[in-house]
Amino acid sequence: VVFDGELDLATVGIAEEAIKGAAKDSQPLILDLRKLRFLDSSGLRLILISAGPSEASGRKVFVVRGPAQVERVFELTGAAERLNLVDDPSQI
Amino acid sequence: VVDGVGEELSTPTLRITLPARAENIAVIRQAITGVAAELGVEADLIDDIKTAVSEAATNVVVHAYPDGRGGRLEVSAMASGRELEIAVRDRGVGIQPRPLAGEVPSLRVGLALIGALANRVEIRGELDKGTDVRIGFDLDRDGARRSILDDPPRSAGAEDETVIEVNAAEPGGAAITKVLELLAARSNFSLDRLSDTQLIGDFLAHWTTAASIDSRPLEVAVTEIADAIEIRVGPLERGVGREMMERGELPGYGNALERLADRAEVIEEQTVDGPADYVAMRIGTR
Repeated sequence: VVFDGELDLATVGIAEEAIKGAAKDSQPLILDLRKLRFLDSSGLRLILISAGPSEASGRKVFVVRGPAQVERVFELTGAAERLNLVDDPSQI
Repeated sequence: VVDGVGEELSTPTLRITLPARAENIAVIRQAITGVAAELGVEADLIDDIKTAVSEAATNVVVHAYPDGRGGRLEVSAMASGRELEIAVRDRGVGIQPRPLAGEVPSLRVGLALIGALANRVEIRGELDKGTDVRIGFDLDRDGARRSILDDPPRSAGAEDETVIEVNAAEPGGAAITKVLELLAARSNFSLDRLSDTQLIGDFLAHWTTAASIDSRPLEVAVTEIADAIEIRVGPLERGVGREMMERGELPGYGNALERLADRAEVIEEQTVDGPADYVAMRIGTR
């Protein structure tokens, strides 16, 4: 799932649908945040839920790092420690 | 922390009022980015300002006007000296004692984020008159990215103490939780411990507003030390502290104190106004 634009309360519903759609495959789920221009706690919550063990039911979830603002939110909330973060999808 | 909603900022650089709807949060971000850029603020700090304002606005959209009644959201920004102060206000239900279950968890993280990003945060609320969140940013802050993760450990001392006084007759209990959240976020608490801290805040709000001594303001003192925060609450009616510790009960949760606090004790003090209990506890960052 490639995120492009701003992920906040207004757009988190669309993103959630997209993730649900992608989650039907049995492949690993990749959340690509490289083009994400903004992330707040509403978006963070979606990402944490999507990457959570209960939701993914054993399936691997990878998050491709976004720009500085996104990294900052991950860092300050401790989310970085909970996610499988990669710099580039080729590392998966 | 409580009171004084709607006090005007003097000559704001920007004031924007708009319907409190999710799609308008991006509008506010844009407006604030414009102001900050005009002030010559560096990009990393603009990111932090955008994030903090976005979180405050999200709180208004989700919480201020329940039952779909809708309402306005007002954001003003004022640069004074080298500080940019942003006020995010609504005329909604005010700071509410929170339900213990079924709440959107992102908002708890949201408030903690504001605390971590800003140099100064004030929250004022009054029941049915709205909430006023003031967020201050030091525009001259270090060029290097400021991360709370890099802060040196704090040592205990009076100047690190935050004291909140609430009038037990008012819905001030929720303010205790909110301030605890902010301080915990600033002290680099892990996400799990942050939510534990919120539960302890709920616990204190639940017990202390019921057990405080009439006509005496309830004082909550929070001290940030290395890897922990320490909280002292009182004065409470003699005996209540003990009861609170023994039962330790948070409705719908069980014994909160045993599960959550690293250390908790009752201090029986003889104050000028008579005997009183104080409850002291310590919550570690991890």
